[in-house]
Amino acid sequence: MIVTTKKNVKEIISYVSSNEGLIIVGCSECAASCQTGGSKQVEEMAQQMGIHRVIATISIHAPCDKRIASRDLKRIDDEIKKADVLIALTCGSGVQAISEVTGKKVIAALNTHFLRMVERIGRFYERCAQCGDCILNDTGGICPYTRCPRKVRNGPCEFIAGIMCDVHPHTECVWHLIFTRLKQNGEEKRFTVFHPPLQWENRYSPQEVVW
Amino acid sequence: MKGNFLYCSKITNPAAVRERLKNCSESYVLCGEYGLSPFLLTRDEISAKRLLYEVVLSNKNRNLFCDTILSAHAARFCGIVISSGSFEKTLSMPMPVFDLDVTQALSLATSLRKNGKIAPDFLLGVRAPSGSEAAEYRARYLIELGADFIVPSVSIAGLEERTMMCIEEFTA
Ligand code: SF4
Ligand code: SF4
Repeated sequence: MIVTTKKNVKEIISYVSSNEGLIIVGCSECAASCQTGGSKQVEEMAQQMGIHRVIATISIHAPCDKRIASRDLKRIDDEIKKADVLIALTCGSGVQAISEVTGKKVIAALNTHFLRMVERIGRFYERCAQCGDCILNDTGGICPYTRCPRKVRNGPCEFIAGIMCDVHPHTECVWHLIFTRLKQNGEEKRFTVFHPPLQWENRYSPQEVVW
Repeated sequence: MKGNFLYCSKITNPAAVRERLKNCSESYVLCGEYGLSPFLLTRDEISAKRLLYEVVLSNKNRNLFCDTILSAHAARFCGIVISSGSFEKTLSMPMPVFDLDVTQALSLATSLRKNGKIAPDFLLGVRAPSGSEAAEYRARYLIELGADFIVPSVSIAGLEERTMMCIEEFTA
């Protein structure tokens, strides 16, 4: 799931002209659980629009999925025809899917951050930075690429201070955590499996998985 | 190999560094990249002493890393020490980019040696982690991978014969 945070409302309104009719679109999946784009936030956004004319509001289950966005937006087809601008309380993929589906001007109301692991609402942690070459099977299921500030894939680096990271002195070095986990699992030998550098030519955006 | 070195981490005044080098008696001097480039020294000055070049990996991609080794070799340094590089993050600057870690960099350096791009006696050293079980495990692996010597911050039992230690750091 994707972590988003709210943009400043003034910034969002600055992209809307006073005579434009608006539709506010929320996401009842990731953005709802971040409390940035659920139905409550959609209504709040509608109220904050002041003099601007809000024609309709809608929450879509997963607006990043063009099939779902297209199906759900059909429910307010007439309103969309009348609208000039859609304000999307969704991740960046959602904004673009809505734009491609409707052909309308869409304003991003959120900032998109990372793929999250959820402890509870309001406690979201990045544990996978989507490097495209997963080494979790050699690292006891702990991702060094995401958690090491130097992105060391064969660690620890020489700056390890005891078991702590020099960059974040209050955090244990992720390679210490990996070693401890592998040892517990009786897989110590995996600690020195060589992980080659990332192939950046495979990391250019936009990426596609198509079959 | 085993030994000590004098470490010039940062060159700001090449004339002062030259003077220091003339008068130093240490067998090895490691020239860091944190200030002006050690390539400011002439080939004669470099070959008059046993100078090692510290290749810092932060903000260096793999092409630049290999080019730096080849340049150090051509400039007659007697070897390199691979280092991750410090992590400096200020409000106005993005974080440094780390394309390679020291293990990956050492693997590239040993392949330059295997392919005959650098002489077999051009020394390949690497700053190694130390001070914890995980760190020492990695340090031993760096030797297995082909490092001629390691530079740990505290010595590692059993690896003394393959350890170079800094006896003094200076900037000039
Ligand atoms: S190694 Fe880490 S960043 Fe890469 S895919 Fe696996 S979990 Fe994600
Ligand atoms: S101390 Fe550990 S977590 Fe910190 S930068 Fe080095 S390898 Fe990464």
